[in-house]
Amino acid sequence: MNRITRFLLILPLALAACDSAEPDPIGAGEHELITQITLTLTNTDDPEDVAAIVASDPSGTGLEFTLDPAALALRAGTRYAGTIELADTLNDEDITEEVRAEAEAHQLFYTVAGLGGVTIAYADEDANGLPVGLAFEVTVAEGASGSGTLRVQLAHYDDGAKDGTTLSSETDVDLTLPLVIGG
Amino acid sequence: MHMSYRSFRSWLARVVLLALGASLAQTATAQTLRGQVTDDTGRPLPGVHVLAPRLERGTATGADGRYTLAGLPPDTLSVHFSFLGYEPAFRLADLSAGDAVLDVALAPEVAQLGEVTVTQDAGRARLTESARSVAILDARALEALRGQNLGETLARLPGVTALTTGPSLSKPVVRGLHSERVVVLNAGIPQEGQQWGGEHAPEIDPFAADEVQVVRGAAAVEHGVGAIGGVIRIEPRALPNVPGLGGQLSLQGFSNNGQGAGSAFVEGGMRGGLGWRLQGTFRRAGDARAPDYVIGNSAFVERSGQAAVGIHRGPIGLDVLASRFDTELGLYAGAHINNLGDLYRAARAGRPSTEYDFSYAIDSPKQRVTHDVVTARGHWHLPTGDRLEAQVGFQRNHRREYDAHGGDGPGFDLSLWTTTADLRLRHRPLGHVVGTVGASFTNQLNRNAEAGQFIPNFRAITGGVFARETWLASQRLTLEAGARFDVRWLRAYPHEGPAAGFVAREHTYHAASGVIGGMYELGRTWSLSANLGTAWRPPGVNELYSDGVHHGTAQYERGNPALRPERSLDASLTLRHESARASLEASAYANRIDGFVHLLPETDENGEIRARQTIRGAYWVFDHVQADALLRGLDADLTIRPTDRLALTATASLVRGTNLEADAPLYGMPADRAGLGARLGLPALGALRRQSLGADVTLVRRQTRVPEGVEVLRDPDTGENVLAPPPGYALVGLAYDADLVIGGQEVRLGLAVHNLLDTAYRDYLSRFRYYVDAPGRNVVFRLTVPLGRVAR
Repeated sequence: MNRITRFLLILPLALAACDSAEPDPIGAGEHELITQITLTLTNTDDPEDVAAIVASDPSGTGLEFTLDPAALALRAGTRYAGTIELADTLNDEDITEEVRAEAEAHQLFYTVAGLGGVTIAYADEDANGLPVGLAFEVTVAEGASGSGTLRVQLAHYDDGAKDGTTLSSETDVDLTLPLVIGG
Repeated sequence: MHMSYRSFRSWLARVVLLALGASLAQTATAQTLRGQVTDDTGRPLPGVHVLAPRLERGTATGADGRYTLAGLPPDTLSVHFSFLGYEPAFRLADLSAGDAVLDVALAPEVAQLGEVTVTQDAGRARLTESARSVAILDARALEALRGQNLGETLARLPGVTALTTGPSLSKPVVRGLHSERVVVLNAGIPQEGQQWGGEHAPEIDPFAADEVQVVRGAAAVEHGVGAIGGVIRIEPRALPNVPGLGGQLSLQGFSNNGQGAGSAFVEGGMRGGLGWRLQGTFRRAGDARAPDYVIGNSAFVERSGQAAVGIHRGPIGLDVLASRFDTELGLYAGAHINNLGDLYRAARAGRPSTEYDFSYAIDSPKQRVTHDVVTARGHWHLPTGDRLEAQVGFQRNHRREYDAHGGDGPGFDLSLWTTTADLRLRHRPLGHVVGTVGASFTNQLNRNAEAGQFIPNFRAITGGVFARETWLASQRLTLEAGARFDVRWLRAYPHEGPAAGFVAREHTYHAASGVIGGMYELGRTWSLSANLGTAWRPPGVNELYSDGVHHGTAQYERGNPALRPERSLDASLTLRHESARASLEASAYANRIDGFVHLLPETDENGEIRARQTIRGAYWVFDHVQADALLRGLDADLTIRPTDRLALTATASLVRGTNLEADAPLYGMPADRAGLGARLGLPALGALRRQSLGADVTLVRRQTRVPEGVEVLRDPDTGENVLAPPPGYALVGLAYDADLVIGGQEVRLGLAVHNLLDTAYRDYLSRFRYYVDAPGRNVVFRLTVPLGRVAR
């Protein structure tokens, strides 16, 4: 086979070998993705009594979304001290710390729907005296029962628009968890 | 196909000889037209445009006012002469007996009246422009639109509208199609800049354009894959080829967003046919203002510049051009929503939740884009009467998009390198047939930097060959036919999960396209053109492999690697009329696209968009699918001149897009629109010449043809359809133009008001229509100062 044909055949192989389109295996992924949220509610009278739920979205796309356990189970007539943890498992980042560091620009909102007798109060505040929501208190009244939902929203504020009660135009977390009150 | 080297060589030689030298045996059929163009005092005019419209051939006069058009068929041809400041002339040249001489004297433009009068001669050229429907913005028309971006500049042409993402970002939509279905050519190079994105505007500075042509409808044979909807050709000024120095300064101010824009160029010619030009543009704007509030973070800044040098000597010409385009533009933060909850709240409020103060600051979310081009194009008139044209180009597009809050780095950082090469041969006439054969090649590399991967890295190589012939069948009838074959090879590296990582995926596509058309002159003032073409488009990398959330619309988009190429069949019929009192162009078309790629949301059993729950919130998932579609429509442009001073215009654009498989309308089709205008030429007043006053009304209907399922999203609290198309609207505008002569220096002024009545409205093709109104009243002031002797 003559030189020109040989050159033409090798050319695609040469392109394949040193293709500058090939990506580096590191560094891909969307910024500030929250892929896991853990809510931990500890009975203020009995620290051994802990209700927790983990919402997990490992790929960040919602296509493998799981809740463990399937619902958050609380007891009637109990007061809980609640904490929330936010993590980006894809990029291995602790978002809870980021929210804490930028507390003036964040607020977590907790809204119960579908059943009565559950009240939630904030237990922390930022430098301006406005609530943040990384720590909160849940009070379940005596005799409350049934199932409903707990909606967790993380609002992000720019330009000092946070006022303690209004949601921002952009929420980073909007998670609705099944809530069950048992005896 | 396997061939021995020797037989390949003789096959290649035969093809080249066929293209180049077949007509060596027919030396008698190539004629030459020569002449000289002077003004009415006999002074030679250099730089006059000489155009034979039926053949799409042209040249310019040299320093002595002389011109030569070689390689013409033995027919009677209409020739058009135009030069700024003079009335255009239209003459017939009879080449049936051999070479001919045609000298022309141009009369100066009538100085008192504004741009209202149109002579018979100027109109005649438009009658036989093209078998297709083409809209042209010449230098004068572009001047009245200066200071706007490319999308805004073209949006008023019939058949063209704009897809906008906020006030700073707009993309041209031609007959309902845009992005990867419209090819944009800047100085002969197809613009490659992630145009798949609805919010990725073409990175082109319209200041540097001398003429913009919009070909409406498929034009695949000349322009290759992707020209299914249309082609936008942006041509810079020709470089001077006679000694001299000239330039121009152009300034604009816009009241609505406090925009200041300025552009200047200096150009010169040197002995020996050498010419050069340096051009620069700067635009800076603050937030745009809707009638009731400020659209926060819609400011932008843009810097661009161009340097060109060229040499034209006898049969050879070579131009080298280098340009840079740099822009940073803010995107209204309230549109950067993360989930459907945000979308419902925004739609309920109907206005920004924050009262923004006007500012020039550009904060995140924002885009930063730079686009660099270096290109060389040359031509050589061979002694055989053929003309060889070649162009090579290198482009680099760097696009960084910053999310509302993602730290300091961009969420999206893409670099796209494209190399293009184009070779054409305008062969000498074969009897009454003139035409072009050519080949083109593109090599493209796309890389993500360390940031989000909405589309993967890829390399794409495309090659094509084509031939297009025009037959001057008779004095009145012109027929054309063309064919093209393209191949595209693609290797992309999508990320296929944490276990597999990046995987190399290859695709190869190849197909042919073709066109037949004709143009018939009916009498002296009417012409009818018909065009039938087939084109194709391979699926784009975003359609195959996109994977991620689109923040502006709470959409998660998924690619589909099994997509096949689109195939279109486009038929159009265009009627033209040109007379002293009226001009008309009306074009009806039907474009059938098989395998039309579009986004379809997941829907539930009730046919409503199903929201997918994630930690971030609920959003809907869109998949890329394909279905056969049909786009039909009508574009019309009518001007009536009842007197020499008055011109009345009416335009209309209608598009009907249908998904044939779902028997439903296509998503995102422009609403019906019409325009009415009047322009009055005023007599000279002191130093003010060529004064004209104009008023216009733009009417846009509500878009009622929307696909159920894609366009119905019910707010769970109010039950309202959040995605309902906005109501129709009407916008009124005024314009005043004049030339001022101060101390011998000519200055061109323009004062205009857009949206005179400060109407609050939203356009259906605005991606921000869920969140904010469009900008309100805008007062525009334009100033153009030609410097020195500007040879065209």
